[in-house]
Amino acid sequence: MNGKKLIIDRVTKTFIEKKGGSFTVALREFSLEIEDGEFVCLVGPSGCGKTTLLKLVAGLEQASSGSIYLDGNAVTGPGRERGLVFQDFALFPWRDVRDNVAFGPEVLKLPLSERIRIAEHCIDLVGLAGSAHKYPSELSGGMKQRVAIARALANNPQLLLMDEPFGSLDAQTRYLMQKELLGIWNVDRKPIIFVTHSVEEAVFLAERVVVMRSSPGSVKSIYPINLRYPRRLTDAAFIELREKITADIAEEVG
Amino acid sequence: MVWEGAALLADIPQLFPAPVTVMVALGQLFVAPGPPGLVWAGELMGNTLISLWRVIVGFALAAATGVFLGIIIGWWRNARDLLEPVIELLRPIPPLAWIPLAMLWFGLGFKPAVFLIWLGAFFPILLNTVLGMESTPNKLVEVAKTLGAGHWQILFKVGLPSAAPSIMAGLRIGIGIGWMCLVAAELTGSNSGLGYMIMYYYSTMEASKTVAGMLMIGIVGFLMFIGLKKLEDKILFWKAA
Amino acid sequence: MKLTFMLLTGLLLASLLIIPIGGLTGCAPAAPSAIRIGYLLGDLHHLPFFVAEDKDFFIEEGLNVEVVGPFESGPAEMDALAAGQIDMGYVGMAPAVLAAARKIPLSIVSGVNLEGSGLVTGMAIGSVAELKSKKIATPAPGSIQYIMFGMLLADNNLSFNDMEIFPGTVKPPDMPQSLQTGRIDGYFAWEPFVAKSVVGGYGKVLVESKDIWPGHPCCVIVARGDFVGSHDGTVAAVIRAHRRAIDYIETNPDEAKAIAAKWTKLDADVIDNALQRVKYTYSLNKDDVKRFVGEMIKLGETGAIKPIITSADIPDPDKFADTVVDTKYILR
Repeated sequence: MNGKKLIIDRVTKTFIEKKGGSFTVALREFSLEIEDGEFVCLVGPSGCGKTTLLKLVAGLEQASSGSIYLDGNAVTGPGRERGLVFQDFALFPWRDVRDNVAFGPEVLKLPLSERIRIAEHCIDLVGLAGSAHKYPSELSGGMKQRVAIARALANNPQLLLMDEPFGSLDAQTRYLMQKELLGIWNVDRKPIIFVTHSVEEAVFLAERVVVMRSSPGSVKSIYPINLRYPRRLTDAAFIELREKITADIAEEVG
Repeated sequence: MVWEGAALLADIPQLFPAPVTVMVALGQLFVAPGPPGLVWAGELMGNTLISLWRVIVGFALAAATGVFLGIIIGWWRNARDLLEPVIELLRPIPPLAWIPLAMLWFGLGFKPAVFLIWLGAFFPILLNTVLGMESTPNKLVEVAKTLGAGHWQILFKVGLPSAAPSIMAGLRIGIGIGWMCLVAAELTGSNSGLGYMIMYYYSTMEASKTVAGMLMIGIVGFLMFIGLKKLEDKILFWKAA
Repeated sequence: MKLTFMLLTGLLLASLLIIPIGGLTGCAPAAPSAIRIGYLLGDLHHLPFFVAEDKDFFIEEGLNVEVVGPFESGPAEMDALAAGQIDMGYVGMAPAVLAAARKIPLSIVSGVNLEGSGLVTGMAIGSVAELKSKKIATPAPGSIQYIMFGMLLADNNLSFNDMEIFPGTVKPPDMPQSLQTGRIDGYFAWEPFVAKSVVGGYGKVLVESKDIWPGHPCCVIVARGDFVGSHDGTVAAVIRAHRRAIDYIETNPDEAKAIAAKWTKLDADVIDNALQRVKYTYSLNKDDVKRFVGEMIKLGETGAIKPIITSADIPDPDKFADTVVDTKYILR
């Protein structure tokens, strides 16, 4: 194995309809390699299999054929080294912020003091210090997503998978969260695969943008984004890239 | 007031005792000597305590068996496929119909009464627990998996807390039904308890004491409901709307 | 707003009551000779009723009898009488007297049987004195069996407090089995539930009810107060059919037993055994009612049983018996 962090090798995923016997090929021969510390965004038309791919990497689904390797190890099921953040937060409503974030360490049966330390560290990292004892029902959308991110980070994952995490936030909060995420990413430089519908968001965040083909899903094109952080939405280069990628996707839909 | 008016209209004290006579009867029952062993408590409260004890024991058994079985059936598909037909077969049988069998298996008095109350409380607790476990949001289970939780950890750290509101509702309903089964339960050869007391005064055709007993059942049932609701709200505080 | 609501609810409740009340005052029209008669579950004492029905004696008297029941207990049947669901009924004298004491208007118009109950115990018990601290089941507190058991204990210087009594929550049909399985040590019931244990071989009759009070009345026919007034002819016809049935039982014992088996769903040998202890008769005696009331009051006053009827309820048993018992139909 070469030194790539994540290798997705010709992965195919077929869903078989239990009743009709008909099947859908969600992904066909999808291949991609990710470097350590890289920020990659996945974009594409609706239903192109972005979420399915993420689930495969997370180990929540099994590939029909092909393989996935993280640090040279085959991915066969879910694991703490691949953290996942959902669009709808999926916080445990009966746990407060701190206990949500401490879930991973708790599962590891770390001593209480250690769990608290890790949790508070991550809570600080996402800018929620002082909210440790609030419950999810008391938090705004943005705050909830921060908790979700903190929770994933508390496990010190090797790879962070994010499925349209800011999709249910309003524009203002979204912009804020994007900047915050870049800040957090800068601290540790963990590799991130970020799925999104918004090309603008992808260009703002990623070092590489992968455009997917749909039905069945596979890699269509890859755009390196060589702009310096922090990027400006009004930059000419930014806008040019955004237009190019948008057109690329539109081709698929059209 | 409506009751008083209707009772006056009826003019058949045997069938429709007026609230005044019922209140008087309540008082009489309160001061009359209690059942053996509880003479000091008075007839009304003594019998109530006896019935309460039976219901608490029956309910505790129902809670333990119902929640335990409910978790198994709600969480594991195989268990569900195996046990569901049996449960659906037994569930529609009303507790009253079990009386002869209860007396055959358990004899008289305490044991068959507890059995019948267990029967009444068991099914709502079981079904609500199953529902709660089955309704565990898939997303939460997936998240737990990506955080490294193993099978049993997911059951106890995600499944159970998620099912808690449903389980609590089942417990609340269960004890309500269990309490309502009192009269039927005490028809299994009891000679004490509120249900027995009601049947006793029904036989001696003392309608106002019969209704007084029924009123007591209603009052205690209501208090139990309130008590449990408060407990539920305390435990499930995180559900703040 | 609240007043209107209460008024409406009151009206609704009242209208719901008019229906039974209407039935009571005879507002509900009924065919001239139609009559609803009730009876008790599995009670061999009501054999004359079963015979009169099956042999068409009622029809021959021009009656259209609607059989209502069986009722699970005397008080249940009396409640139905009070509510106008039945017009006449075969029932124990004790519930009838109790109902009358609770101001339900009724008349006892004929006897049905005497005696026919007994105290059954396991084979190990030899005397009444040995009943101390044992478990004994009896029918409900309002029944004659309950009172007679109290009388028996009083005769032997015992009271209900000396043993564990289960009044009313073990139904007579379940009593033999409870004795057999050892759940109870004895029971006091009416036929055929006495015979069942004897024939089954696990019980014996320690005391027959006739030994406690020879010739004691057991079941009677009652008619609702207003019904007797307005349907004199019908009541008389019912009793004529009833008397014919009693004669029939005497002269056609085998046929009578077959009818008994059909209505009580019991075996022939149990019925055979039971019929030895039952005496069917239409005779009716005010003194019997007076004595019964007296015994009930006395037992309550001595504390042998919990008071069911006190002298406050029936201050003058004589007058009470006069108003409740109506012998004109059996004297015709």
